[in-house]
Amino acid sequence: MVLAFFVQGITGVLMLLYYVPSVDQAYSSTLFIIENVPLGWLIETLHLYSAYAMVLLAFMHLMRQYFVSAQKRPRELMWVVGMLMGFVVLAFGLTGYLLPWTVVSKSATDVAVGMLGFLPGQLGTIARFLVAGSGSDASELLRFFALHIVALPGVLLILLGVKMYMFEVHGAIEPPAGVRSGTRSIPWFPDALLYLAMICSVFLAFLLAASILFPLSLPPQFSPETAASFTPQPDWYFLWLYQILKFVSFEGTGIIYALVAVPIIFVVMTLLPFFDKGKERRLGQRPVYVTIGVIMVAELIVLTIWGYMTPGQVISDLQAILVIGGTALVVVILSWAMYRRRKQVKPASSSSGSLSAAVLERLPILTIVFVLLLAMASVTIASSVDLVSSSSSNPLLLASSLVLSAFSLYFMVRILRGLVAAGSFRVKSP
Amino acid sequence: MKLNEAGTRSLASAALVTFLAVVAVYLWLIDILTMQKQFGAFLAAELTAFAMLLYLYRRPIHGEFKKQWFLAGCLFLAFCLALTIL
Repeated sequence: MVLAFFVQGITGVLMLLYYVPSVDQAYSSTLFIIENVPLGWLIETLHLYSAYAMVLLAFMHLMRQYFVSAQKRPRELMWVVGMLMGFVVLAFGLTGYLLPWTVVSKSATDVAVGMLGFLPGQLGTIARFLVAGSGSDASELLRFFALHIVALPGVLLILLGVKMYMFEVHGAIEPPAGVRSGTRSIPWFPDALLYLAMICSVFLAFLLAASILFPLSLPPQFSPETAASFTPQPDWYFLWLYQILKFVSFEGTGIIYALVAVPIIFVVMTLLPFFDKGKERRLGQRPVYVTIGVIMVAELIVLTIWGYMTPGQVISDLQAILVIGGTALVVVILSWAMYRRRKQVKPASSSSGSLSAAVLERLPILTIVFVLLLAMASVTIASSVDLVSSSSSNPLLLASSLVLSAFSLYFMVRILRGLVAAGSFRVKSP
Repeated sequence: MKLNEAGTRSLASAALVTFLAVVAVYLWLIDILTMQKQFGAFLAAELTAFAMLLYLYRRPIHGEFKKQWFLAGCLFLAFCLALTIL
C-alpha cells in the first residue's frame, strides 16, 4: 500500500510537468501526455492502476485487521488512524477522477458535489464551498487539483507517520490463536528487507504488465452537449455507493436518508474498538462479529457488481430489499450452519487451534472462491425471487438462476465442511 | 528441480543474474521513443527476474522454498517477454 502511494507520488509529479489545471486545457493536456509525451501513456496508466491497487489493498487490509481483531486494546487508535487513512485514499480517488475533465468524470463529480447541498443546515454550504468554491467549473477543478496534490498527500503522510510510530510502540499483532511454539523472530536486515524488495518488485512488474495490456483510453472531453448523452458513473470503488443512491427511496429529497445512513456506518466502523471491547480474538469464538464482517464484504461486492450492471437504472425498493436482504440472509444461514457444525466436531488433540498445513496453503484461494460464490448465490437467489414475484417471468431464466444458486450454495458448503474438518474453527486447547 | 539443494539454487541464480544483466544492457540501449511498449515489458521482466533472484537468495521466512512460486515466476517472466512481441 505504501509502495502504491509512492508510485502515485512519482508518476503524479511526472504528470505535473505537463498537466494544466484549467477547464480549457485539463483534457487537452492529459491527452497530450498520453499521445505525445514519451512513455506518457505508461505513466498515466501506472498512476491510475496504482490508485486502484491502493484502494483495493486498503480495503483488504481493513478487512484482514477486522477479522483478526486488530482493533482491540492496546491498538484502538491505530485502527482509528487506519480508518482515517482509508477515507483519505477514497478522497484521493474522488478528487483525481475529475482532473482529466472527461465527460464521465465531470458528470459523476457533479452528482457527488450536488449531493453535498442536501446536507443539513450550514454543513452543506461549507462542504460545497470547500470542494467546489464559488460553484464555477474553474474553481471546482482548481480546488480538486489542490486537494489532490497538496492537502491529501500531506494528510496521508502525517497519518502514515503517526501509524508507523504506533506500530513501533505496540509492535505487530500476534495471531489470534497465539504464537506457535518454535516461532523465531526475523531480523530486519537482510531477511525482512529482501522480502519487502521481492514483494515490491513483483507488485511493480504486475502494474507494468497490466498497464501494457490495458493502457488507459480517455473518454470524450466534458461539454454540456456530450454530457447529455452519457450516464454519469463513478469509478468502480464508489459503485456500491452509487448503487445505494439509485434506490427509489433515496431519490429526490430522500437522499438525506442515504447521506445520514452511509456516514453512520463509517463512524461505527471507525469507532469499532470502543464498541467491541471483548478480549476474545479467535474467529471461532466471535460468531456475531465474523458474520457482520462477511455480510459487509458480501454486500459491497454485490452492490458493486450490481451497480456496474445497471448504470443509470433506478432500483425499486423490492429489488433492493431482495438483493441486500438475500445476501445478508445467505451469509447468516451459512454462518449459523458453520458455527453449529463447529460445535459438533470434536477438537483434535494434536492440531487444535490452528489450520492444518495443507489448508493453510490454500486458505487465500479458498477465501476468494468462497466470496465469489457468495456474491453469485446472493444475486441469483434475489433474481430468482424477483422472477417468481414478477408477472412476466422467463422460465428458462428462472431455471438457470435456481441452478446457479444451488451450484454456489453446494460449493460453499463443501468449502466450509473442508475448513471445519481441517480444524480451522476449533477452539485452542489450553 | 529441487530448490532446497544449494547447487540447483546456484545454477538458477546464475541464469537469472545473466538474464538481468542482458536485459539491463538492452534497456539502456533501446530507443524509448519508438519502442515504448517493449521498454515497459522488458522492465516488468527485469523486475520479475530480480524478485525471483531475491527469492532464491534470501533465507526462507515461511518454511522451505516452494517450487510452485518459482515456476509461477518463470511463467510470468515468459508472459512479460511475450508482451514485448505482441
